Amino acid sequence: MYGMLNEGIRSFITDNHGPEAWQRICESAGLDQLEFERMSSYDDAITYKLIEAICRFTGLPLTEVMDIFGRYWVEFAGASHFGNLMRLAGNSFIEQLKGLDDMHDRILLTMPHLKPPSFEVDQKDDGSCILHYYSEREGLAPMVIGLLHGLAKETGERIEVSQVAVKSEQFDHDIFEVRILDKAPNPTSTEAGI
Amino acid sequence: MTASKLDLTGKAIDMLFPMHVVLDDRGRIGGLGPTLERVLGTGVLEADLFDVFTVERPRNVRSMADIRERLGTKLVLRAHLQDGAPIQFRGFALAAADEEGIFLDLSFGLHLSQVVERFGLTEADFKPNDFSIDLFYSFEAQRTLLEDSQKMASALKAAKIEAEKKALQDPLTEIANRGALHRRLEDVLHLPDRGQMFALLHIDLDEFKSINDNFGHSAGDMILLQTAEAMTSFCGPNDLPARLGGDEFALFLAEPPDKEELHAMALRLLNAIAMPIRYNGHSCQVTASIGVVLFHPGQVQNADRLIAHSDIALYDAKTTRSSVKLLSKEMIRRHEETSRLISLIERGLKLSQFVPYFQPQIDSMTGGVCGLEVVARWQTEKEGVLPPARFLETATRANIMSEIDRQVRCKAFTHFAEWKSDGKDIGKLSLNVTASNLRSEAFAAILQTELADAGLTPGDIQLELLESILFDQSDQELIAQCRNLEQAGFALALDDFGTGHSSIATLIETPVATLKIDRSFVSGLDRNPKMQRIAGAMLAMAQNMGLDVLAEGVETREELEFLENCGCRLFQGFYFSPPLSAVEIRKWLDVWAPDLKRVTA
Ligand code: HEM
Repeated sequence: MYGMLNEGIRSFITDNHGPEAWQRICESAGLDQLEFERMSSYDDAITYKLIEAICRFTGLPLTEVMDIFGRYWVEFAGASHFGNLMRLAGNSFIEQLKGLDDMHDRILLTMPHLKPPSFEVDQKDDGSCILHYYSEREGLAPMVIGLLHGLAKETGERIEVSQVAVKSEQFDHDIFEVRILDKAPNPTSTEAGI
Repeated sequence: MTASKLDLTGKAIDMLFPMHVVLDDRGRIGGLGPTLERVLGTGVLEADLFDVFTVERPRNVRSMADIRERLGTKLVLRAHLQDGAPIQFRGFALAAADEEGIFLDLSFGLHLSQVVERFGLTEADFKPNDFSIDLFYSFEAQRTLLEDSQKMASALKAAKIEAEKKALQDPLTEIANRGALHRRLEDVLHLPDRGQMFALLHIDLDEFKSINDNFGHSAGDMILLQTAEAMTSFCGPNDLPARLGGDEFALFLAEPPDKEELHAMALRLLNAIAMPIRYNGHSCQVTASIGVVLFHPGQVQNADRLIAHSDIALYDAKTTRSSVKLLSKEMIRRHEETSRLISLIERGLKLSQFVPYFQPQIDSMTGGVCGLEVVARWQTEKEGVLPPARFLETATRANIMSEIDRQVRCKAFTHFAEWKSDGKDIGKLSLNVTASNLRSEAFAAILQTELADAGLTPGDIQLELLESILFDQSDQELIAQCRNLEQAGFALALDDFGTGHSSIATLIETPVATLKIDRSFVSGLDRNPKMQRIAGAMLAMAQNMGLDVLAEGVETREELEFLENCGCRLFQGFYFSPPLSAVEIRKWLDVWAPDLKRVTA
């Protein structure tokens, strides 16, 4: 993973628990560094070890930690220069969801070692949608749930997510069902006709 | 004319869509735009689209029918060339005019930069309004900047690591410095396991200064390096050798052996330090002393305390000349006593408790007082008046002796000036001078100012130098300083003559007017023929050299008379008077006159 992600984790911990906590977490993860270069690529194992150490530190289960971090990430990454890439995809949750692949692709142009996720959206007539999540990595589905909530928060919407299929040896990706509870006020509709 | 009526020539199509693919109804590649032809080669013509490309997104697009379903939407394709890395394209599909075939318009995706380089593409290979080639340049620039900043970041990081290392390292010997040792000791002192034992060896080179003085600083540096090396060679992986500064070192041992073995090890370390080194054809060598503390976590509050303790043991090793000393409770007690004494002395100075006592010097020829020797006394509140033996050593070690001297001297000057103006004939005021007084350039000037303040001149003063000061006749600096003082009008006397080792040569070189024969040659002299011969010889020699002689410590009339018979005429001792306070000596001076009759009679 790119250092940016590990830096996101660091900022998440120092914001919520302070710098000493971060130091203890790094020690418990067996790392000899406390900071990461955002634009350098690191072994995925570092990220996994950090997340495990956070579980030990907070006493929370893995899925919860990943969910919380997912929500935080959208805020953190959205505040970075890449945030505009996300917003370029559109104003609503659904539009941005559809733009995620393009966005990660564009990031790939500056982070050539990125192994981005890929999402595919099937919209259903009742307004809900089926989201397919493809990844070269394992075990990140709980984070995606947090990410989706985070994304919805950015556009001022509220959603409900449930995982309906789990990646396994027989099945190559995870599937989520996303229900949109509150739609964002759409600025263009109020100005219709002008 | 609307666009739908527009019928473009093949050339115009190639120009507008240099990366197009024309597919026939069965999905075979019928034509390629010129740029795509360069990249894929003409070999792909007539091939099936799905043999050349896979559609990455949307997923599951595997047939012409799938493509027809997604006309006008964004496609991501990947071409697998036989020779080399895959190339990603983005594009979309349109139905051809005949409704049978399909027209794909592509552009480079992810691998734009690689493709431009690999196929040597230029601006002409892109349609005029395509921004791709600009992107290529901006990626290049971005990559260079990124590489630069990564290089910079790692250089900064390396510099930071280096700086941290330096901050904990002694630059000359490259072993740890005081700060690093301090850190380590703090860590150890705070370990939870109080049962564990550690040792700290505090090492100081003996007379290291003389190596620097005699052989120069690079020889001194070599000795320091050798010491660091010797220490390192005694270290296990968890031990820490450190240089505390100057010629002071310390060795932390994480797993010390028992006391006896530790003592033996310290001695071996001293031997290793004392190995002679060759420098410019000379052999130089130092000895050292070691103070040892055995300690467990929590034993003292902090590292400073611990280092102070090892220093106490070291001091004990130095003063008892026993090379290695293990800290004992008794040493700490003595040290605390000394510290207490120092603060009492400092308080005494503030309260002006140091006063001069005066002992008269008598000229037996005239019976008059030829001088008053000043000695220091400490008037304490609880213990009464204390002689120098009770404070001299401690005050000297604490560097406050010169303050005491000054306090005593100034008071003596004031009294002396007063008695003189009262019309008393009391000769010269005699002051003791130390080697460090003489070495100080300011000493003569300070003395002159103090005298002037009291209304006295150098002619009123005799300075008594300890014979041991002049022992080293090669010390030209001291001898020159003596000459200066004499030129300024001070009279010089040599104190304790006979106990030091001054050679005749020293006596010739130094402008001394008076020799004071030490009391050890005087007491009991009248009953000891051997002493009599020595005293006689000293007096004869002094007379030959034209020097006055004053006998100290005269206690009996017999001693006095014997020396008078040998030609001595100046005396000092209890026979006449012990040292007295200013008030007492003033009275003594008044009553002294009658006794004069005895001498002249
Ligand atoms: C501005 C916003 C975002 C930025 C800058 C961003 C950037 C990144 C980066 C740098 C990585 C690390 C990948 C690697 O190093 O290989 C990553 C991974 C990931 N991102 Fe994003 N991201 C953003 C928003 C989102 C959102 C909103 C979602 C989902 C709803 C998302 C889903 C993921 C997932 C699931 C991964 C894990 C990679 C995997 O599954 O293998 N990201 N992202």
